[in-house]
Amino acid sequence: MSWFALKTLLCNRGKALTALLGVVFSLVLVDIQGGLYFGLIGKASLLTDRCAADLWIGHRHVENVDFAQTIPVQRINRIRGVPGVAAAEPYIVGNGIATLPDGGYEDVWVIGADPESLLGAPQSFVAGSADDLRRPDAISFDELDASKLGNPAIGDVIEVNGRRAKVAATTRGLLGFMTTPYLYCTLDTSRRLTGIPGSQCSYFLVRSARGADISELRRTLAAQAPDLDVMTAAEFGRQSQDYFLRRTGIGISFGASTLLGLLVGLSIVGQSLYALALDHLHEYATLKAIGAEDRQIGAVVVVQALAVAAVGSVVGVALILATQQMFSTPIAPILIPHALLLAGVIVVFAICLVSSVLPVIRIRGIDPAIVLQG
Amino acid sequence: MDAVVSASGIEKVYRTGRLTTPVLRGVDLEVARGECLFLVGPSGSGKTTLLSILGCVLSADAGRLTLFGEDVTQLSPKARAAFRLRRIGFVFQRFHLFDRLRAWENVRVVFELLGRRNNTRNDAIELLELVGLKDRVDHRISELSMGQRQRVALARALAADPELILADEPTASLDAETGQSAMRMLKDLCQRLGKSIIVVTHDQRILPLADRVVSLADGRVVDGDPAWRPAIAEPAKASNRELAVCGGMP
Repeated sequence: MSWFALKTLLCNRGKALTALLGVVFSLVLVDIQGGLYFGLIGKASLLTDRCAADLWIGHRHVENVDFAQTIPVQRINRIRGVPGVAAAEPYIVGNGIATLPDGGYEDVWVIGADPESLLGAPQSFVAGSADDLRRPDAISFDELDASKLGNPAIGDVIEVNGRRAKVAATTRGLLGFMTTPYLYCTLDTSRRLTGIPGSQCSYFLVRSARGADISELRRTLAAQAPDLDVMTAAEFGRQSQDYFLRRTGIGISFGASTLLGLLVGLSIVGQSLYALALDHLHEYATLKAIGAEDRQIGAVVVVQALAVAAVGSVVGVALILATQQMFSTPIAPILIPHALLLAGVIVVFAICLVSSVLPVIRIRGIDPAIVLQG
Repeated sequence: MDAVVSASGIEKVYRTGRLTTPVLRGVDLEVARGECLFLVGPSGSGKTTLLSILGCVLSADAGRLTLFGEDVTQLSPKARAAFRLRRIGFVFQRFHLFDRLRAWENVRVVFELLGRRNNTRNDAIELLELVGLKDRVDHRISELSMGQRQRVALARALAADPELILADEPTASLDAETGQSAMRMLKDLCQRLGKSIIVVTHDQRILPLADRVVSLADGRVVDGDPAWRPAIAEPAKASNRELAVCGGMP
């Protein structure tokens, strides 16, 4: 009876479009809200996500990659000696205050990478290059953070913690969760700017040897350095995101608004399908009088709901991708993984199926005898 | 008699709150295979309720109903639905066709309910040809005259190849001439196909087409004389006789 269901749906274009609107609204809301959430929370793990290190070793109980405590550099020698470690480099995540030309100031993160490997340094340069960062006092920052730093040009000098830093490059897509700009530089420059001594660093970045089992290597390193935390990049990234989730309630905020949108979508779809069923009660009664079972008539409503969900999903996904293309920016990235798209589609199918319950109940209650009673 | 329908002591009471209205008070009725039986009687006499019970749409409160030798009195609603889908065809008073569908699709609905998927268009067209609508198969119901709609309703009623056709006021929406011709076609077709027909009607003009007329009044059969055969050639006489059978029908 699928064709019957679809014809019934199509002959009520107004109600079909309203139901479709509800589905598209729900799907777009779920995925754009989710995309904004993932985009925003993804910035909390920017340092780990944009770094080629397999393992991060930091101070015991470090909770967030941005909030590091120093650890003794000398410990790195034992780590380098562990089988399966291809390279281990010190890495600095420190903070400072940049003095602006107009007398203002701006909190900054100072990120220091090994000058040889530049492991953990930026890759996407708008002006300058990775080589430029190797020069003395050289720093880079994201192009969208320029205004926070007084719009310095390449070659300009700014002060960080009262010390000289020269703008050597600008990058793209390196904005953190907080509004604080990241200043990338070499280990030496970062020590000079932050005052972290040569005997200390924030993390050890470890690259595993080809073919090494990273989980096994992690266990071995954790055993070698029980007073330090050893985490894979993915683990540390998740931990950094959880830090903000727990402390800001951002998940609850996004979740609540998404849920509200879903409820609105559910009510639109439900109301439309119910009204559609009411419009055709006499036809359903006729079907029952002829001999249709409740199951067969219920299937008509379910097919209508699924058709609305399918068309709504196609339109919704197209709209989501267009919205992402048009409105996603480095400041407010809309990050929509395939899993989120799929989850959104599953949610709208669930909404449509739930919405079909009431009309099905209503139709089950029809007495076919009304057809014979005029 | 090779009875297709055998009803005995059928009772039905409608309840609205505390109010109970007995509609059928012990109806006995038999319909033979191939017979064309007309049920007549004044409004409220219980004709439609009886038709609904005979068609397994309603269940009786008391009595016993056997259709095609099978006792259907105690069937569950689901079993009754399956039974009437396969063995009973309906022509409803206002036809109750699906207006947005084409003529052949209205017939197809029954095939779909039966679970038939193949060749449904051809089979539907064949039935529409049978009722003289060969050139209207792709017309929407709203594009058809009332007489043509009635034929579509008949084609739909025949779709499951049922043994019994129940028609509720089949000529009520038609003018005299169309009604006569539609009823004649219904009877001829059913006779040719070996089907029994029970027709509820107020239309005295079509009574001569009946093999037998049963009159209901106040929920009881008041005249079920199987020997009563109005002559088709003498409609006026038959009409008079029908008035007498109806016992004061307005």
